[in-house]
Amino acid sequence: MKKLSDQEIIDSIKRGNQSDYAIIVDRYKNKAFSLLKRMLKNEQDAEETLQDCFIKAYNSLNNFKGESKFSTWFYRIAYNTALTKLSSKKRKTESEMSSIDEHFNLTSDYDLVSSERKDLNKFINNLVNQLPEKYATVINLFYLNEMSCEEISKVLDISISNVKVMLHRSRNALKDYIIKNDLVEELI
Amino acid sequence: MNLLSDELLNNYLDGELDEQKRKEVEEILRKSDSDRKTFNALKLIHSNLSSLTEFKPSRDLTFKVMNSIGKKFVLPQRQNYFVLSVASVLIFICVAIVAYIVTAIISSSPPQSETIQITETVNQLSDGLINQLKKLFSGKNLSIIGSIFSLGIMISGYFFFEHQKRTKVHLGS
Repeated sequence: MKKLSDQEIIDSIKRGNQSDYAIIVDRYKNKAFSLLKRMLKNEQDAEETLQDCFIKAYNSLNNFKGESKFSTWFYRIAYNTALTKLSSKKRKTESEMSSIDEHFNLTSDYDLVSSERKDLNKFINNLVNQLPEKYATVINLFYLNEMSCEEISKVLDISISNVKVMLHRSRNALKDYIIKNDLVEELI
Repeated sequence: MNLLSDELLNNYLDGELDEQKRKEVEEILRKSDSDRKTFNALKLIHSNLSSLTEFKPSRDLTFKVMNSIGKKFVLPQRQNYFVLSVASVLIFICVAIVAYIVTAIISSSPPQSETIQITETVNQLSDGLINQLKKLFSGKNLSIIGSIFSLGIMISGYFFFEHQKRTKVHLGS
């Protein structure tokens, strides 16, 4: 069976087939939830925010003109909604690259020596979840959502070079952590 | 001490270096143990990030979203029902008043034979209608009609207020 494109589904919804929106929700819920969970660091907040995002996106569907991909447009809504949620919780948020000198306080209680190689992914995930929200967002969008730096720059509303800086800084923080803890040989 | 910067290694990993720079980096990586160790760590991170865990929300998320959207669509229909019900009550009151007037006119007129002309009946009815309306909207009757209308407006106002409150709560949630 032919998989409908996002644009085809959106056109159908605009024609009055409201129930087709469920296809969009099913298509994006996992990736958007992962993004929100890594930003908000809380499963319940992430789920509530995700619901809000889908409802917001639905109510604004008429504003979506198809100039960018639906995914870029939707993740932008998700990212901004999560930032609003964070600011409402009086958490620290940064929107300028001048604030990039953030501390990466990575720790892991995970016992790598006694664990199996297959759990290495769990270990890395644990570290990623500790990254500051903006860096975790970039990592999530780049690796899990497989978005290009250009697309990520549109979602975060920053320049492509700033996206690359954030991506490299996140990788370097993780890399420094495993070097500092002499884990490279064990992990390879 | 490392010869290659983190920035350069990241760009090499992303394949963003030109041919000459790439060869220089590869040459250093062959010779320098510390640079190779750093690069291996970076490559390890990169390859593991490619299989980053995808979290899943609760199973009923789609249902919840579609339910919220569905309610929004029901609201205009509910509003239509509300307007229809108020309009039908008002129409019913008007019909009842007209029926009362016509009955009063007919009952007040003397019994007539079938031969009376239609024009006389119409004249009688119109005269009677004016008289009955005068009677209806004067004195005690006027206050009764006024009370009925006031009651109708109050009931409509209450339902309208409740409807607005429900809409606000729904939009808020």
